[in-house]
Amino acid sequence: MEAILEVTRHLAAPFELTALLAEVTAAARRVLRSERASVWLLDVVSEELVLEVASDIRHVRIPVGRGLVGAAARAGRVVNTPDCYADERFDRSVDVQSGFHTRCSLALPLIDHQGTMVGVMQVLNKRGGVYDADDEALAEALAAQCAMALQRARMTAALIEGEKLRQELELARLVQHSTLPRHWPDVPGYDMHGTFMPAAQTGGDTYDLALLPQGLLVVLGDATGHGIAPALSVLQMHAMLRTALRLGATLEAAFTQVNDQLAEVLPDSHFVTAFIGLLDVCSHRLRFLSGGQGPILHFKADQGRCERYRATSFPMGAMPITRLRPAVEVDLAPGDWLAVLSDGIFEYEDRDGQALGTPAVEQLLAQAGGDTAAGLSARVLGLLREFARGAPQEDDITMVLVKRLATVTAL
Amino acid sequence: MDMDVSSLEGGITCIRLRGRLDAPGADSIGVKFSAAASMAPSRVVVDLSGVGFIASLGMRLLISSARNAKAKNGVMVLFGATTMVHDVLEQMAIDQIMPIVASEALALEQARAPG
Repeated sequence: MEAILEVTRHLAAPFELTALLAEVTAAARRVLRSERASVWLLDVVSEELVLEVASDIRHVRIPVGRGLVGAAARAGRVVNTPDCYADERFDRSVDVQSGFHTRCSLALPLIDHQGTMVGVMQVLNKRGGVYDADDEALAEALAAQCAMALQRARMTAALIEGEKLRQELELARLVQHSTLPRHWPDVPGYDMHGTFMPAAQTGGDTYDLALLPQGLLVVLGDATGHGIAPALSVLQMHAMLRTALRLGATLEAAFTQVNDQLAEVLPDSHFVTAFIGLLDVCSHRLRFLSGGQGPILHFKADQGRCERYRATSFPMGAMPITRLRPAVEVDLAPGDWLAVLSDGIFEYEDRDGQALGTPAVEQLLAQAGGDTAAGLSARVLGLLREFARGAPQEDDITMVLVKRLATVTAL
Repeated sequence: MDMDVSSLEGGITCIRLRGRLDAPGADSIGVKFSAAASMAPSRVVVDLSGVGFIASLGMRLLISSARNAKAKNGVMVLFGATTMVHDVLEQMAIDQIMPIVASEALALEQARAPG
């Protein structure tokens, strides 16, 4: 009993599988006064026993049922063999490979607390004799401790793996958020706001609001789906676009270049819908191209209604552009809004599966005369919450709102 | 989401869809649809008259299949879309990737036209 308690103390410490198995075999050799001890773990997929710990031989796999170890696994009980070479179940090939001469063997299945066989422990060549009934009882107690420790080590490994995955996702989220603008450009006569609420830890959407030599850049990108793969696609699109524009490309050149590069690099069935606009903040003229992103809403203050624009071309990356349609030009008058919203808003479904649709957003824009861009963003989110009646968010929610102020406040 | 596939004269495959082509709908027919649309000689007409709603994942399925058909010198033509679905397809400029026509007769005419 003392020996078992000592082993239990030893097995309580290691959480890493290899260290644990080394402890197990050392304890088995000591407690059962054996020349050798080994642990074989069950590979449930191939139904083989895999030799995990032995000093002189590695990477041995045997089918369940073969040899004394396999016999213990199949029977689910101790197999005590006083004279191995006299037992027809004994597999001599391991002795041949290791150069060791096996005299007697005690093989025990490792059964976890749910009654599942997870492997086999084997001790060989008891010093000064063969294994008896006391040894079997001792070995069974030891095997029970081993099986529990083994399960704990595996659960710990799974937890660590889960934590690693969580950390990787968190890193991807941080990278994605780091590409979003921290502050909106300060442009006299304009108010603007960007919102990004991913449905999962990482989203497939992005947006941008940046003052470039070519004008105020307004971007909303949406790669279908959410998670790491679309997040990477949309980041790729964003990075290519920024690079092209920084190198002085026109809207048309940047759009075509990014589309064609995406068509080359994105895997099949991956696309990015993207609105890319450049607003001349002096003439108040917005020029935009949109790859599959629509509807784009222009609220006209003087008419009290929205003009809807469709995409100018197919989703980016779907195929190379052979003939680019001309950019759409829109003049923003005082009080006008440009609202670019992802389909995660228009397609948000309530509990009955009804989508929000475009008119509800247009109605909100019509009542937003006195709102700031941040205020309107909050009202859109409020509308979604009210509409959803508790239905969960299935897609990323992203919007870019730009308002030309009715009057410019002198600073 | 229901899907029927039939072979028409001239090696044209007709795929008839019924239901909501949203994320679960696209998931449920994704593999079957892609396989049917890529059957040689990749001349495919898709009946959307029974589709009441289309979302971005449904669109992705149509685009990737049309792209595959085009890569094999084939064509995919959509027909019979309801006003709502037609509007969404237009908003995303899908008509620049594959023809969208009103009737089956027009779709067959487009599918038979040499590529």
